Amino acid sequence: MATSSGTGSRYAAEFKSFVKETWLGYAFMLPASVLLGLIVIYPTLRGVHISFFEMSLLQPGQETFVAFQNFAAMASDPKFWNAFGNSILLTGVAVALQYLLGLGLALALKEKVPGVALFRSASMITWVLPVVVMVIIFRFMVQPGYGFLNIVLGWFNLPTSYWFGDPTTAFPLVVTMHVWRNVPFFAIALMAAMQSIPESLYEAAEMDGAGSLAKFRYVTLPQISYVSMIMIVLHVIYTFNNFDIVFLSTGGGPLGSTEVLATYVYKQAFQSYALGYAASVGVVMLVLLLAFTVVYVKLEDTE
Amino acid sequence: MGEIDIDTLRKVFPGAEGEIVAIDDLDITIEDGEFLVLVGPSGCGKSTTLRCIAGLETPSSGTISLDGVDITDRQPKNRNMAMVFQSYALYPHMTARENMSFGLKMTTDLSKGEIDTRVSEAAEMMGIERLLDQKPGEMSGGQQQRVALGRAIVRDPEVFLMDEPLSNLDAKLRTTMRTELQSLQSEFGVTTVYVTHDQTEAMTMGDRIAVLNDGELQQIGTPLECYHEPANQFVAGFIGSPSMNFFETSLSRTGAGARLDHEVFDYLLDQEGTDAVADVSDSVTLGIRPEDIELADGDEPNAFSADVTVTEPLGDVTFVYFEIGGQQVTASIDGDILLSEGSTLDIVFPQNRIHLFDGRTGGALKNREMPTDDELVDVSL
Repeated sequence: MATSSGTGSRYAAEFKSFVKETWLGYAFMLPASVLLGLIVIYPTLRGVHISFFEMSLLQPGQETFVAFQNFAAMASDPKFWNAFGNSILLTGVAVALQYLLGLGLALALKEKVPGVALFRSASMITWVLPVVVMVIIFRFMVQPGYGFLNIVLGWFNLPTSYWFGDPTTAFPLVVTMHVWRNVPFFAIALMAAMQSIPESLYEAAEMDGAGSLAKFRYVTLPQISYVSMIMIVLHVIYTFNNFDIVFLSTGGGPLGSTEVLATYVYKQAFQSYALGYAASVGVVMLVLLLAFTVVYVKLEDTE
Repeated sequence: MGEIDIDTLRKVFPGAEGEIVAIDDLDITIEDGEFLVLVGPSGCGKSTTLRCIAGLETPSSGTISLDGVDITDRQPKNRNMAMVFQSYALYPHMTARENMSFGLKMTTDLSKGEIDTRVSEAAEMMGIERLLDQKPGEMSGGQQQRVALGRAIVRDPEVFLMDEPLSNLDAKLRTTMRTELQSLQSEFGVTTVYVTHDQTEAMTMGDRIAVLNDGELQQIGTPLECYHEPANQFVAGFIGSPSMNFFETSLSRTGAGARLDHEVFDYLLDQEGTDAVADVSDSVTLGIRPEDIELADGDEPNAFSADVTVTEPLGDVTFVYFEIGGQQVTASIDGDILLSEGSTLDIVFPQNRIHLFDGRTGGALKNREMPTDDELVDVSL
């Protein structure tokens, strides 16, 4: 049995070390928290704040509180709705294609065929290529006269054109660039998930009478669902927010056919100088993405 | 029905340094309803054999027949066999119920209701009704094991294949499951092929055991046959715990009979032993099980003294380790006899308990006397 004074000093020592260690912990967290606050939390809150004001880059320091007027203006702005629709279409089509093609590529790369290791590394090239370089390659390929695509079409006497300049083909080309860029990343992530599935599960399924399709449906798919969710959420956010691919290739044109919310926000803020309006469009994007993420994570949980 | 006939089965894997022969011309016939245990050290080919029977590996040559029908090239799903894996291999995203009904869903046209009935019956048999709506991640190892067994039972297969199903369980649970598996198997009367590296499991569970080493069948027989009449030195050393002690001796013939000369002791063989080594030129390995070593009064023939290095009292028996000619020798002595480490004891290997093996080939020359029929009857009563 410890004496009362012994017990007391034990508690005192524990309290001391607790306080000491806790404060040390806070001290370690402080720099990161301050940094995060400065570069993430403040701009976000400031952006939301601006969306309720009328502000122009031409008159710095002049802020007029307009409540929800920016949002009301948005509702009757056809250019906004065009960009909104394009953003959703681009995100939906591009991510769906990326996932399906990535899944197919993952299944192919998983096979133990000679030379597959080289192919695995090579397939990552599109993903590590800088966006600017990728866009230049694509623009070059569709140049009339000397672009590779048009040369090939010329061989078959098919119509050639500057495809980025055509309102009907520009949007599919933007989708293609997104897909081309991200399919390998999907493939590598899904393949890693597939490789972590124990072989014995497939053997058990085989003993249970499952064919190749059933094995894919009942063993592979459920086992990669978590990685699939992460990849889809990440890429929906990435594609929805993406600015550089669209801006560098078409700048949102021709005739707004490839305008997405990200380029529209940029144009409103830095070409029309309507900071408040741009911020309110940004808030709409933020809310949409938050809603999407919440719904998807909830769905995944109930699976 | 479920008679399996394995005929000159051979499985070769390509390896970095040439081919690896996993199974070398294996011949085994497994009777309908029999519990056969494949036992051997790691890499002896026992799991590969099981996987060939299951259809998960394709044999390099040889045939496997089920009830006289060649099934060597059939797909696993067309063999009507169920397998229990070492890792259980339960589908992690499915509940126990879904795990158990998956095979029936895939292979039969049974309605959902019929499948549910069969799953419930199997679950009741395994005592896992309350686990049916849980996923494997929420269960203990023992519970997963039961679900895995239930998944095999519910299929009502002709053959059960089990690949070290108990090796991931703790010692106590393993003993319980051992008896439970045995009673399940005899209840169903389904042919069972069971792979293990644990000789205790092999001895206690099998109707017959097949001892494998380096892809070759060493011996197939009842557990007691393998224990009392090992075909060679490998089987003698593998079956029985603690392992049999071996002494390499050189043979010399005297007027009184053959004599085995060891660094520490000489062992004069009786007439039976002398006859057994008649065809051997020089080297003979003497084998004696720990439980057959006896303490001597000092005046028995062939007795000699040895130093005790370590004692391990287990209560009923004490394992005594001797140092004999630089080699560690284990004896199992009555637990009531108190021995201290460092003492010197006189020990003797009784003539009717020794095993003799050809020093060159390892083949058995003489085995200890089998228990007499009277003794066996007494045991079984």
